[in-house]
Amino acid sequence: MEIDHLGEVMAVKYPGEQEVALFVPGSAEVALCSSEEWQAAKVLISQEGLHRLGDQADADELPIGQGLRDLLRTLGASVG
Amino acid sequence: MTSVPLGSLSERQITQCLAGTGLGLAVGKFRALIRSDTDLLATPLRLLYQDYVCDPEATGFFDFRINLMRERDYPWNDWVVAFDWEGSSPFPSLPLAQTHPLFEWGLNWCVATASGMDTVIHSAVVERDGLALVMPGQPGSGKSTLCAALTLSDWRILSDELTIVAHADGRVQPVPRPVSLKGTSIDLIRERFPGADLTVPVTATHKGAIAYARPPTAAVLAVDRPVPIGFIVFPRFKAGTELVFEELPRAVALAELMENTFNVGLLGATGFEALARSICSARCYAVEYGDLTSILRWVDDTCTPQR
Repeated sequence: MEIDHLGEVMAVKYPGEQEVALFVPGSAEVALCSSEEWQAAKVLISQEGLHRLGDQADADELPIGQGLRDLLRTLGASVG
Repeated sequence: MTSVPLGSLSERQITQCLAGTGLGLAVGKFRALIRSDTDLLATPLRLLYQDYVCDPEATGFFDFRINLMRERDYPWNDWVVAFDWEGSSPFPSLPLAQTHPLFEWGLNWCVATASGMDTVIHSAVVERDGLALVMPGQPGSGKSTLCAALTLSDWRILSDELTIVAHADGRVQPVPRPVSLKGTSIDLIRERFPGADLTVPVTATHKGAIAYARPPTAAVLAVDRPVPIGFIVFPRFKAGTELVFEELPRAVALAELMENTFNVGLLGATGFEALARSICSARCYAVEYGDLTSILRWVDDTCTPQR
């Protein structure tokens, strides 16, 4: 099992699976995305920082799914 | 401290203990002190908890001190029963006839609340071959009926309502309790397992008619045998349908488990990581089924250590 920590986000990936479970402590919710989406989000977060994802325009340009965008947008707003 | 099987006491002795200083009862790793003046607990307790260790002298430490007492606002009102754990209760008062179900619901609340750092999932859980089969589900999913059938077959019940996953090692902690049956499930289980000990149904609860099945003696005595999670099955009962199932990725199962977990929001990052690790080796499924025979056969074929 792989666990990534990126800012507030915890990401869990199990061997042999494509899905990644994302969790933000305190939210009690889990989002799901693909490995590709998570890799893309990690690159953006590490390069641009979480606060950039609070910007609606930037979030819409991310090559990731809506659920993950919404989750990360929430993160961006919370660290704003 | 005196410790004896509850079944060694008569109903009269149990009633006297409950109405006096209380009856100590070991439930899993917890010790409960129970007091009640309703005269309606002794019969179901003696039937369902006959193998559990009790302390009629009510000595020592208790995790919960619970009371089920009669009350009424005015002499012309009917008596009702109120539950409290040292003055706290999330339950409204109920008709006196519902004293026993209220005790079981109240004890569930106590166990869930007192589980500390361990993750508490709203699900039934049984064990066979050293692996736990966790069955989360909303009301109406059929998980309790399935749990009862498995328990009365060759699976060991760990809990019919609360799966407690230890934070330290990810294993499921046994808290065997009577299995609740509702509505048509009562007759279904009675017919399929005619030798099972069931209580007389209590009717007109907010969940309809409720009865409870006694857990097998072996399960009660194996309270010190936690096991890892081997299988997670999300059941969905739909009368008359053919059984269909799909294997789920563990990440998907983890997300579903979180929605059924009482306290992960409180445990935060460490609780989430502990839960995620606890299902590392689990096989996960969603199953829709229309009758008990088909789901029991599917569980028997699928939930084995090696396919």
